[in-house]
Amino acid sequence: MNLPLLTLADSWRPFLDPIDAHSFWYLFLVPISFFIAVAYKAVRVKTFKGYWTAVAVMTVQIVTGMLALAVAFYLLVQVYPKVV
Amino acid sequence: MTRHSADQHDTPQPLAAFLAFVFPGLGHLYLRQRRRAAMVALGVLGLFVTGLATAGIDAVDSGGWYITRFNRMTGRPAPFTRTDGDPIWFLGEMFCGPVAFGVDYYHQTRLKVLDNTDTLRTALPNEIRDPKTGRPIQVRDDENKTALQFTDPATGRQRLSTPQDRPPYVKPLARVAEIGTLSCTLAGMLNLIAIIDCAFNRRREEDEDEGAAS
Repeated sequence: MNLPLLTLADSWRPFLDPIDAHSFWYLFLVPISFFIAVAYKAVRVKTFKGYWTAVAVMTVQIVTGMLALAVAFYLLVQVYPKVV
Repeated sequence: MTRHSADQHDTPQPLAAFLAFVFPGLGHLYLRQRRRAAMVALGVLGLFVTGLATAGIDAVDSGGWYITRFNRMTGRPAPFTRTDGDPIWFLGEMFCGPVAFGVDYYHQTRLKVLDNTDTLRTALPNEIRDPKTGRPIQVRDDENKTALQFTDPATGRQRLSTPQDRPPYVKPLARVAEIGTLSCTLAGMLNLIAIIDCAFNRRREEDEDEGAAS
């Protein structure tokens, strides 16, 4: 009897099996940045006035910084060798 | 829990630091900073759960080094001689405290298999785990995935394997594995910041704000 190859989508077990996120893995940058900002700002701010604004700003800063790094590395690896 | 006096704010708080290690946010809760405690717990546990939900339980994998160390200290034989895992990443994850150690202990002792070479490892896709011995049982052919006859550890009877006979968990690959491990490690590192923050608590004016708000 030949069995079909088991795939993740067949029977995903939460917290045991990985999710099939190979096509959109980069989107996890947003929740990870958000939770980093939540915890970091919690120990950084003196008062909680404007806390969520600070969290939003830091989340955007991290995401923007990572995108900028991605663009910079793309230029360095893909474009720069062709120019030189 | 007693209200802290003003002069305690400038003194080291080892108990608060210890509590922050025991559970994310507990140290700040001890210092009567409820909102800060809730946000630390949300951030740290949010990252930890995101990592586990993304990559599965393999995101937290110490390789069981502390189990071996503990057995050596107590004079018991080591349960395995070799292991896989990510002990370097676990150095960061372990600052989530017992949550991380609990997840990892469950992973090492209930989900991994101990093969004939005394190696503690993840079960391969064609293996299941004998829950009594922790040994792997091959249930499918490695090359053509053909079902094999095996002794079912639950019933003790020989039978042909079915698609339901699967390893305890699937090892993540590539970016998904990296994101899961990174997320759990970041959780531990952020909790380390919270632990240090609790140890050197310096927020008199902020406490007053919280007191006024509550």
